[in-house]
Amino acid sequence: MSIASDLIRGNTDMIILAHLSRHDSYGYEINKMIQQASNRRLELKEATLYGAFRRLEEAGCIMFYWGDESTGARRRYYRITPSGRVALEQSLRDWGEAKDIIDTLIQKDNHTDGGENHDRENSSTC
Amino acid sequence: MTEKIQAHVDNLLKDAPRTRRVVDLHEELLSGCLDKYADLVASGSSPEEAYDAVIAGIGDVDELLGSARKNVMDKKLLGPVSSSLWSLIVFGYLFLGFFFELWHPGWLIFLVGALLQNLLNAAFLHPDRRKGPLTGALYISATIVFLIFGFATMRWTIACLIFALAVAVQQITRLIRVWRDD
Repeated sequence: MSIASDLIRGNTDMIILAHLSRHDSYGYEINKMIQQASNRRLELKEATLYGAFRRLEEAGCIMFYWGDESTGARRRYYRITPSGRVALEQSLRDWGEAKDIIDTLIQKDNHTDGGENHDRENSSTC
Repeated sequence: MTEKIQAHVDNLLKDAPRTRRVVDLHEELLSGCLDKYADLVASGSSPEEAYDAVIAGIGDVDELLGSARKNVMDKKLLGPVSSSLWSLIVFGYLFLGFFFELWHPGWLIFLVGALLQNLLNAAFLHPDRRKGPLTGALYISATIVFLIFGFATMRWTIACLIFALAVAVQQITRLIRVWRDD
């Protein structure tokens, strides 16, 4: 759980953008979606989530508007911008590529690839 | 219990400067906490369990405030620092007067004090709110240069040009700020 969530934390921005590319949303709804989709294995801290929103806002990937809740505090809704969609496409491509590379590197029957770079002593221990 | 959540959120942000960013964060955090609390209670948690889960789920807000807080010195220091500044200025004025008979241009030291006070105020404010004190500092500097140049040369008409220069500097910095924000 903790190692997986470390890996996931690095991709919070992409997860948020992917969710917002489907429809406008707000902090709690996004966190709840993350919780449900991950079968309760992952839940972001509010601070992590809002930090990501501010980063994405400053980068021009998302914009916000206030909800019209009459009781209590208003929700801060987020909408993905066109440049946010471009950034999401790029992140998805990067992610796919990184995933391919890591999958290839950790496949057990592939360890002889790149063997020409190994010292003879080392390759025998692998 | 919702008042307790509100009090907790208020307390988390009580030391942060009241910038737009912090005010927005306060409302967003509060609405997130209340949404979560209502959701947990609706799905069967006791109010106490829900409260604990909400508070535990907030995480490290200081990290979020990091950029709002940086470059801001502790406001409590401003009072003592200002009064030390003015004591030094008065001391300097009397010193110049009694020992060197410099009462006349010596009074300019009070303008220097005003300049330093403006710079101090700016240092204790959030970067977004420094415009006022910095503009003040600019015009006080211009006045100091005007008076020094005027008394030294007695050509006051030429000395006046320094104010035109100050206006130009102010407009140029405004222009730069607009460009940078784009």
